[in-house]
Amino acid sequence: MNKIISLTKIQLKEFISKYQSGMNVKNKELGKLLLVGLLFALLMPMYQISSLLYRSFYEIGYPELTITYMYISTALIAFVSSIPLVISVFFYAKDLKLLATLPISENVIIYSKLSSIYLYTLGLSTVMLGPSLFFQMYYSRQPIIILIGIVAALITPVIPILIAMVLVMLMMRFFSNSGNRNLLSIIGNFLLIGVIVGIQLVLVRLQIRPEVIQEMMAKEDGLLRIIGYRFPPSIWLTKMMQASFFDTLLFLGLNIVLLLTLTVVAKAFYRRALQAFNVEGSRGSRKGSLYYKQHSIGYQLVKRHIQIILHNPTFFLNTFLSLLVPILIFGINFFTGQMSMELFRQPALQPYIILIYSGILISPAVMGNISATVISREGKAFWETLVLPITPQQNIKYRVLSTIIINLAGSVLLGALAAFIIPITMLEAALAIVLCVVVTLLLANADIIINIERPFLNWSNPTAAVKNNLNVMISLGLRVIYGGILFLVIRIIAPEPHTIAFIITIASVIMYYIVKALLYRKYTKRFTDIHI
Amino acid sequence: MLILSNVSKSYDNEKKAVDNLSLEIKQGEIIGFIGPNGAGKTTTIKMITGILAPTSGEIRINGLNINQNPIEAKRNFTFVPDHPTIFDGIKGIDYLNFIGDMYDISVAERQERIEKFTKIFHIYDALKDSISSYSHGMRQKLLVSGALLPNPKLFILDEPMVGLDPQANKMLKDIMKEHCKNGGTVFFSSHMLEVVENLCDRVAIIHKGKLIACDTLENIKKKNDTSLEDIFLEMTKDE
Repeated sequence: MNKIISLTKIQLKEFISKYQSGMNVKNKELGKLLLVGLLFALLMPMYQISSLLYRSFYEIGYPELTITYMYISTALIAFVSSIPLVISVFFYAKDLKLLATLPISENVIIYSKLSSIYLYTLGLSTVMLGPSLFFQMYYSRQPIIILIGIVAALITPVIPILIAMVLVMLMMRFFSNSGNRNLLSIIGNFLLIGVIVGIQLVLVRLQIRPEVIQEMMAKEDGLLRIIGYRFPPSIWLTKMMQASFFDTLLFLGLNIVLLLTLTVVAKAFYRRALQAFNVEGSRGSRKGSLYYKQHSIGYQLVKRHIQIILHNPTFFLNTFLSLLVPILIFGINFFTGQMSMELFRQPALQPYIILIYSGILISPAVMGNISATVISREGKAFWETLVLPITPQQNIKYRVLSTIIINLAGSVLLGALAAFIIPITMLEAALAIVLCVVVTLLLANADIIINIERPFLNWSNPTAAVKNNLNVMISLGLRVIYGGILFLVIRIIAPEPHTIAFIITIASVIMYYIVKALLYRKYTKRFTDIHI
Repeated sequence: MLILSNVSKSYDNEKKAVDNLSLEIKQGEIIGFIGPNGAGKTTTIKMITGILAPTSGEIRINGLNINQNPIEAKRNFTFVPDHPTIFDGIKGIDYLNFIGDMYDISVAERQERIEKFTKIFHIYDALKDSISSYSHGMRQKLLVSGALLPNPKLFILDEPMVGLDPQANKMLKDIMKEHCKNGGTVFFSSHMLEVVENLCDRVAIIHKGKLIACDTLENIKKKNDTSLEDIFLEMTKDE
């Protein structure tokens, strides 16, 4: 027991210290304040959403359904975000070689490493689910509910993390024996997410079948069952928060069963998975032939930055999941029938088609803030480009260009899909494309300034470089501020939708030139001063 | 070929990691740069290579100021760091072609030089493999091969022997000698005093950021009449 406590302490200390260095705030108190502020800023919109849901469900007599709804969303997001985190911490962390040589069991390693993932996911679930649990505790005013609420808040992240852990562990064990571990890890994880989304789609379709709805509504807690059908633990948690002993047993029981499953899987697979993973790392691929080809400096540098993302599953999943989120939302809405051609053909929507299409096109640039971590991703290999005979401007330019290429590829894919169901004219599409290109240019240039200001090169695992990094939050914050200002201006002027698109384009062109001038004048010097 | 004039570096504006260091290296020389851990060797090399900017002073490579004319200055040298941390998601041959493109090496020349150096270091057959599968020594050999590819006027190495097997060590020493014979210059740091003793035309000793000696081995020994190791230990012992 001492070993696990000792190792967990070290893992947590490392996680917290890396998180603090990721925030890159020298004053520790200021760092804590910033973290609280950040949590508060994230908590506010979730509080608003939960409050709105609570009032709506209260009016129909089922306020507890807020928990069901929010728990399903929390569990899904926690599961999806746990996957790259688990891969990063369990297979790419720098302490793995040391841990593998220590006289400790697989379970000790796993549970201690889980602590940092738990802490991260606890933050996420507190922000997302916390307000709805709070409403239930506050309005029930029963000590037992308050106690159950606290327990529920603490164990909420466990189920999604454990499911992700078990699946990733099994997948890595088998895939890491094969030729290209990175590629297979990426494909495997995409399949995993695809399967989960697929199951959700099937269940949603089942759920909307009239006979299923009738059958469920006939039961006492029919509405709860309809909402929680996709993820039964959400039903148990909701009833647990109403002091149902049986459902508390079911919910806690599932946590225990998953914990035991993980223990068994860990014993059987983790060490072998890690060993297989390391063997593959030292095995030559010997594919292709030797070649001697000349390319431009730009080609080589862009290729390098894209390869850095493609090579590391954590970087890849993080980058492409953020780009894929809009595509997933779009796909789910389309396949579940919530978004259809008929919907977009409604006369009331016609004037707004250009804004809807533009919004879809720019979503990869808005969600995928790749430039904000383009320097951090290189880690200690950053010295390589510094000693080459290239200008700092070239060094920066091709980093930005690699982001633009990735984001625009996402936009092209989304644009092509959306063009099938959104009745948009050629002229409108052209204006939307111009808007998309300008916004992508602006955001890619603005984000790299954040990374130059806050380069984070000494990271312990890849997730720290791209996820547990304040740069990403700052970048999202910038988008909110820019979007907010544009929204206010548009509200004041109240123009028609085509003019709105035009205003956004012109404003973004002006901002792009301002940001570009700032980047290539002031921040080039800062870039050359980055210490490794 | 390389001139450092009153170069200083401070990370915190208080303690100087490198303190008023002046040094001149002529074309065709092999200079060994030695000093205890934390003496300022790597910081000096990082400033010479443009990874760090000096707090004060000037560094010229082939007459070009590294901070004012970084691109032209960098065309004159290549660098091998003390630990071979490079982006390892590519194959060995990709890395060498990358370096070839950065220094604008023609296809014919890069093929000839890649084959020459990678065969000398016995990594030619591994060039098709991903660098992530390379051992520490293989990565070091790849970095050295890449650094030699542009046939640099100045070849800078930070602790180059660490991680190399005895065979590769011998090869590297021969290459360094040959490079100088062909008009190149070599500047390298090392902890291995016998390597410095056997290889270098001159030795520069740094201690607590200050250059405490820079002369030929004969002259240093004339003054002290003992081995380089004893001289080094005597010069760098803490008061």
